[in-house]
Amino acid sequence: MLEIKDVSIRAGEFAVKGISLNVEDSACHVIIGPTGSGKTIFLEAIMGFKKLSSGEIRLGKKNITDMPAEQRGISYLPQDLALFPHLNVKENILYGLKIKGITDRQYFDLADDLIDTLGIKHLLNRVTHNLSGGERQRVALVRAIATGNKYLLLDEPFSALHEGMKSELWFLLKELQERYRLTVLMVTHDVEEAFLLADTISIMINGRLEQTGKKEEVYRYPATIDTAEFFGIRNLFDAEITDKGNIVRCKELNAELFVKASLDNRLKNLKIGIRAEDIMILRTGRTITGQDNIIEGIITDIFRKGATDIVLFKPQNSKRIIEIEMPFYAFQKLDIKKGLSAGVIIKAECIFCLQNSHDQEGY
Amino acid sequence: MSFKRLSISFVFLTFFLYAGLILSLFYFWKGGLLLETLFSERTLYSICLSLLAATVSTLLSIFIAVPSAYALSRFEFIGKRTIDTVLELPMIVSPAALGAMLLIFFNNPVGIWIQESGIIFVFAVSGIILAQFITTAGIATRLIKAVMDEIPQRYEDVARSLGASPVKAFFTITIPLAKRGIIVSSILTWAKALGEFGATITIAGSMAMKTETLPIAIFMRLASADIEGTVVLILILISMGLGILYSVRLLMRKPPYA
Repeated sequence: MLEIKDVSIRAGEFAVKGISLNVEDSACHVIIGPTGSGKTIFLEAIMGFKKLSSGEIRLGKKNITDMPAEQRGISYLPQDLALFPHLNVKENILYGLKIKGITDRQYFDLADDLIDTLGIKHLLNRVTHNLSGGERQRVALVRAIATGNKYLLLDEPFSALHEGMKSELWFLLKELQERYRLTVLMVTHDVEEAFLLADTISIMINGRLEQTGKKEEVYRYPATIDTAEFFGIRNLFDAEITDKGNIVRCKELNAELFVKASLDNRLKNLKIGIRAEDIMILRTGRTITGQDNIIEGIITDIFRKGATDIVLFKPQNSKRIIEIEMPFYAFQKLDIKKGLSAGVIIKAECIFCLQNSHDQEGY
Repeated sequence: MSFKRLSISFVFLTFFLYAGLILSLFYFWKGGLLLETLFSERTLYSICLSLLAATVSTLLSIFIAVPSAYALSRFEFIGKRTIDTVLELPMIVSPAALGAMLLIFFNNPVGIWIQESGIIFVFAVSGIILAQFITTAGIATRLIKAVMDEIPQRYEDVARSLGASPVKAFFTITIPLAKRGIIVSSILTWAKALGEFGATITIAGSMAMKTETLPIAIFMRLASADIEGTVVLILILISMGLGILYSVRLLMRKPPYA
């Protein structure tokens, strides 16, 4: 297990502060955050390229905080991959084995196996600077794993690729991770990539970890307003707790909403958030049972995104707009038009609550 | 006149300035004198001494410049800015002043002790090498630092993550990547050393068949009003210099890792 305990790093005016997280063996942990949030500095510190101001890094039982990078047994893949331009593909792949003087057959078998798995045998004698983006990725991955290191740090390795190539390599990385039982710590700003590859996720914003957890949990319940905003959740509304059990009053939507999240009654004000894809437009005449929230209003605008549509909905007597994302087929089936009076259903379990402050965590 | 044409006209103006100077040499050109001067014992000695001194001083400069440039490019340390500025001393102080500084140094107790310990620099060939080394070491460091700055440190980081120690990463990644730049810097340093005059004559003097490098030979011929001989020596020096610079251009034209 890779254990990071209360790590702080200073880089000029910027600082990464008090980061603690554990990456379980053979798991993939993804740190996601906007550009400039300190993700790369953090990885460089784990590698030993940046000095820690405080904290400790452990790999299994070993304290590796002050260990030279070459002795840590962690492979590192920077954003630009850093394939050595003066070496051909084969020399790049075998660099780690050669430099460590490894002659053990099993390592060369591993390299051969990786080369076959990633289908790069035909590239072995090529120079690296005329490989395509996807080929470069494959070579860099093989090089990182062939050296025998079980820990892999990836710094936005797929950011320069087009969507099709990206998703191909996501599945390939997942396959490699499971097959060779690799422990992967990856940073990215791509939400889709993070949720697809991760077992656990951390959100880093402004040098701080805002939230860490299982990916389903992080997806469903963002812990802070910053996190919710980073995920692109625009349905964030001020609300206040009522004395009617799990009901919050949202003046901005002119509605009282039933929520499943447990409410801290010590708080008066909070923010509620709803993912655009969790809101359904109500078909006329459909009866609703249970504790779902229904808001009446009008469709104000429609934007076509491709596979989904964004529908803007204005509740009655409200100045705020609710953003709804729905599949194109549902959109067609409901025959939604701009100016149409409609109702929306917001399931109680789809509403998450946040403290109405940037300094405090949500719940 | 368009801006493009105007700027190109400045290029030609500069070119004709130097070309005119070279062409004016031929006013005193005596064809028969070329071979006679070139193959005279004194000229051959000057050429050999110039080549030897420039080569040794360049090797010393590069030996010092490569690690220094790497340190300046990669690390932060106390005094880095001051050292960086001092390296420009050969560019801002005239060569004669550098030579005078050397001469003064060898007249203080430490310098006298060095000379008395058996290494004679004043009025000796070793003085020529030292003078050339002093005038080129800083420039070589500056040139190679620019080369090192162009190589992303990430290559070394990745090499280290694959198990290379800093020294191994330096020799297996940084040096091969910087090789072309180091060769080009070496040639430019060598050309600078070959033409060095001010510091050399100040510390080593101008003794025929002893400390007479090609630039000093030119000075001595001119001092004795042998204009035709001076012209021949200048043309020899120009040919050697241009030959070197042309080889640099050829090296630069090749793609780095083809």
